[in-house]
Amino acid sequence: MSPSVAASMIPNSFKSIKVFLDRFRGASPGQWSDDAETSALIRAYVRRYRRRLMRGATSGRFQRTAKLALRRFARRKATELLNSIKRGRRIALDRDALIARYHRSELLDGLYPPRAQRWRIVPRRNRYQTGELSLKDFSFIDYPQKTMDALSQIAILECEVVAAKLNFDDPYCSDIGPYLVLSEMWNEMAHIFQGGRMSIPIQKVVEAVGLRKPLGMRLGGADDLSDVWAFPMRRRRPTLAAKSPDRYLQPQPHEKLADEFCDHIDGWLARAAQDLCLTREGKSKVASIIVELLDNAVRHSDLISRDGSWTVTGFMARRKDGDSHVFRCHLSFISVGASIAESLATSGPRSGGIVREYCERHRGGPQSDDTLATLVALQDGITGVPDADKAGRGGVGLQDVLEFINALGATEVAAWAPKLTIVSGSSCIRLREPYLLGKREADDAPRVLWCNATNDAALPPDPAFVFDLEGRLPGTVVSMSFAIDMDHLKATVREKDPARAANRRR
Amino acid sequence: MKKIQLEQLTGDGEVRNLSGHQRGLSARAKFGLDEIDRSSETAVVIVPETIYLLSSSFFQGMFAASVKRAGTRDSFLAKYQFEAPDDVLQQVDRGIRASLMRREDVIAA
Repeated sequence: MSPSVAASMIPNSFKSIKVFLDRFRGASPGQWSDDAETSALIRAYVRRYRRRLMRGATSGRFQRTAKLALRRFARRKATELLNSIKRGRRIALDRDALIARYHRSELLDGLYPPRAQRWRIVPRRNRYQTGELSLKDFSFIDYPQKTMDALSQIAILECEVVAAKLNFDDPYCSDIGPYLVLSEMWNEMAHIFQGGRMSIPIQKVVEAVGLRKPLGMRLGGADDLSDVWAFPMRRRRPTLAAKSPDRYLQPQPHEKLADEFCDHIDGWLARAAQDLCLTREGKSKVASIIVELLDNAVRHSDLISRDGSWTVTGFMARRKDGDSHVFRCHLSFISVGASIAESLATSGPRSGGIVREYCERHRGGPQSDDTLATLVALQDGITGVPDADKAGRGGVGLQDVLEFINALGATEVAAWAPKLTIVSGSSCIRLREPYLLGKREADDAPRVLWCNATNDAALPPDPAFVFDLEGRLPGTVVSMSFAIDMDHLKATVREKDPARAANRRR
Repeated sequence: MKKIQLEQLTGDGEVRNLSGHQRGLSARAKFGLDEIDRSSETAVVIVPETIYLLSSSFFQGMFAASVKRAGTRDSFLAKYQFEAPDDVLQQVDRGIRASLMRREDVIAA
């Protein structure tokens, strides 16, 4: 841009100049200097500002001295202005951010290992250093690496800047898992995140599942929630109270949650799909997915007490697909603590031997031992609990989950097929066609899913589906999505009132 | 014949599914399944109509040892008769199958 063109773009009035300056002061230092056009504008402005300052009257006996002084004055003020634009606006600090102290956080310290050394109280940070992060493809299901990177960036920003914005730039929510992880981190972070963008569909989901408050957000667009049916977030934390030996004879939190979730789905179906509801078989499949994953979380995420924590949420949303509508269900579970590979390291000799053998076969390939061990954990009969391993029981829950997801999400439309992604430690396993269902060689053989073309343990797993992530999540996230295909619905749902439905069809 | 009333685990109908490996182990201890296995006594397991799920982890915890001791599906069902809705009986069948699975074949499969 030529200096004359730049000069013609500079506003004249005081108010316009202030707005003009604020535009550049709001940017992070260095951001604007990469843009040649902006640099030209700023240079032109500072030049005009200096010329105006030089216009002061200089006459009389001391004219020469006055002229020199005026020139020095104009140069000094122009330099101050330029430095002020370069530095950016001094950010007003949030009160909660000011009093924030470092809290040890398993999740944040895992995502950003130098956090304990780098963390400083907010008043000691550079007052002009802000951050802005675009969270695009924020989904463990389809973009696990990008999502891990984004969560690590959030942990870094929390550590180092005085204020930051998070822009949720996806058009809609395709995986509630990353938001669940964010909610786990939120209370352990300094409150430096202020504002940002979020699309209306995502605002609706965040509001509906009850994450708005835990994330400290104000959402202006989440008024009409009529096309989002949510299962509000539920958390389970181990109790510190003395544990009764009969506690397992009492109804368990995950059992109550499974019943509640099935009732929620009945409610969704009644409103969305004209008086349909789950059959008992459908309920058992849905409940099995939840209880098996939560039971795993409780038993395996805390290796000492075997009494771990979990958080779960889900929602169903109606999406347009061509001329028809499809109901997409999303479920996510997070358990902070030991990863699957770490849990399996404490297993008995039988399961441990199988893990060792498999890792030795495929060591040197693209997957680490931990990721290979995580894949072994999916197979029937593999358990991290030594007693169960010795007695030959347990270790069938995960294959059941895959069977039931396949059954619930059965569809002839490839784009709607079920997907499930497990992120545990640095391991990622993406389960979708063609690797979504374990298979048996014989009636009494275990179900296996080795994620390769021939489903053979002797061959390495497909690195596009089983791979290591850069970065580490301390714990396990399981995120899944499946569509309820109305044509296949009859296998798992029934009409509440068949006579009324028959009248409607006439 | 001993009666095993699984309704006792539901907290008077507070829950409609029974799940969890540890829960199954505790139920096994409560109803004395080890003693039943060692004796010639048979048992009837009564599952109320309100229960729609005996999860595989629960079944493994409560019955896997008994299934293995019986050796076959038919021997186990001769020892433990189930009075349950049809869909729960199918879950029992799944649990028996999982208990009799040849676990050593995982890596060879």
